[in-house]
Amino acid sequence: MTVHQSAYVGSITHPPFYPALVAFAAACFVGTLATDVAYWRTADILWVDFSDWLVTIGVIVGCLALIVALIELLAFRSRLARRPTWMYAIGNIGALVLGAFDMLMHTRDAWTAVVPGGLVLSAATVLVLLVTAWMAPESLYRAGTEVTA
Amino acid sequence: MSQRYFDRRAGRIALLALACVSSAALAARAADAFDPMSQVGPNPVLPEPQQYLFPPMRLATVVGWKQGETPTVAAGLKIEPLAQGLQHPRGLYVLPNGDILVVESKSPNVQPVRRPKDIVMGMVESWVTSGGDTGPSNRITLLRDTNGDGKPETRSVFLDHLNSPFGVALVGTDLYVANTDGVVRYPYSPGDTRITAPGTTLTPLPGGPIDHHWTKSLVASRDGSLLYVGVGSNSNITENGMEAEKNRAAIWEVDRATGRWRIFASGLRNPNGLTFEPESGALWTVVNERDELGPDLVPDYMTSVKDGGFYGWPYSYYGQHVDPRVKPQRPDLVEKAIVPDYALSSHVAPLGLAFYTGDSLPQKYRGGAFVGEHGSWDRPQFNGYKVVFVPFSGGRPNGKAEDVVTGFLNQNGEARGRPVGVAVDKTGALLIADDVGNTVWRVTAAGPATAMNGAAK
Repeated sequence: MTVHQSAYVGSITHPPFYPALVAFAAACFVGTLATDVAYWRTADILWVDFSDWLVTIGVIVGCLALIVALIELLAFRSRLARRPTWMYAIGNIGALVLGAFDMLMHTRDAWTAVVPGGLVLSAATVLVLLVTAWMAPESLYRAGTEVTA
Repeated sequence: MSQRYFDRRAGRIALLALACVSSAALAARAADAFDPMSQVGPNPVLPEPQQYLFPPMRLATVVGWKQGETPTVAAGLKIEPLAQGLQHPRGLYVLPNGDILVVESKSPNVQPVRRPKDIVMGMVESWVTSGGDTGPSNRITLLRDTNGDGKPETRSVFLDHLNSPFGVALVGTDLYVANTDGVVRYPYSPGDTRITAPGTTLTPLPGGPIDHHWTKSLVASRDGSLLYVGVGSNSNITENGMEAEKNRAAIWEVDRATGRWRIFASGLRNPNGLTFEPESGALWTVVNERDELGPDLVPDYMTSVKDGGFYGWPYSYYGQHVDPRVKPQRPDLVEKAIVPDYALSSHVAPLGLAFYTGDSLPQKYRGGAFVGEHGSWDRPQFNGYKVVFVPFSGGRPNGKAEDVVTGFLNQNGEARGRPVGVAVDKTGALLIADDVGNTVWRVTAAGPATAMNGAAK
């Protein structure tokens, strides 16, 4: 009887919210790289305006993801279904730091906001995100495994 | 346990990230050992351009003038307010009968937010523009001081409901006002204290939708047949796209009879204070140069303006110094870029220019130029925030600029006022429009002998 109940308690764990925010920020950084490349190839100022918005929103949502992740990990530790791995955390925080520098680089006016510094930082951010997704996917895709415990 | 360890590590990494970003900002605020005075004169020292993740800035909080406070003047001069409680006064024009027009003007505030930086810079500008509510502004106030004692007997709203006006010019009975979007003509009779007739647009000027440098300076040629209009660039350095710069960063020559215009000179980022030098008859202007290449680049300047001349913006500065931020570049234009005549130091923001044609101030000021320097934001130490005098001889600058009116900043680096337009009144006194202090200042010679000389005129 009691054994059954403890198994039931395990099943009320809930999935964390922060991975959705991480994915949103990552999409912004990928977009920044795309529009940076477009500006580099065309020198059309339209593209760097897109980059400015994307990288800024990416950094804001990325910071939000970090705050939400810390709250969820600290406050709901025992009830959280999935926990991030080290690689996942370090990789994403690294990408956020690069993105923040990229955002500052993009506050420059015209060409040198992107070429070469902004473009390099945008590419590095996306590279870190890719490596992180490749090396540390389990926290996202092992949903439900802990519920069976 | 590993979970707890992870939390601590994550926190530490986040702190480290924060430290990295903020230390980058601090490094950009490193002390500036460069002498700004080495950039005053015909051959300014130009350091290598620097670019930043966070450009060095210092903003002067607005405190305004307390009762009885005035700016400080050079020896042999004295200063008093001619009028206070104005609404953001920026331009001054003295009519032939001695009446003084004070152009009160505010930014059109039409610039759309194109990118996040526009939001931040909009906030920054609103902090330092003016103290408190200055009312609707965008009007011209007339001051009449018949006996020349510096205390106007009449003060009236001369023209109201204008569109961010700046320049004024009178030719015969035609009074021209340069609004931000066009030169408008009004009928004027000597002695008028108010114009009620509607204006007629002579020539539309580039206003919105983007209207970055919005002050349109205005001067009439000596024979009165032509008007010259300063039209500033639509960006710091092309970040709003080249299409937005069409016919901007230029001085226009407008035919007064027909309104037809042509570009007289170009490559002038933000030309203001258009004035004819009395001895040579050449057109002179003060120009605000580009920002965010370092605290000591690019020096603002004053220069004579040649017909058809190209002065560099955006492609280069001080002749052939190419700006790396502009793509595509134009080597053909850079090659013919004219080096300006006289540098005024970096980021001093000259907005007013007047040659001294009076004779009541001390002898040394005769024939030279007064320049109103609105003051810097794009450097860690303040520069400008004063009126300087540049001696002239034979129609050319001849010697180092010297401070004439200072003290617009208090000892805590707060702005009591900021000078903009300058003019010489019928008694030969120097007038200064102070848009942050909402005052027009009047500088006269100190001492009873010269004061009587001034009043006798």
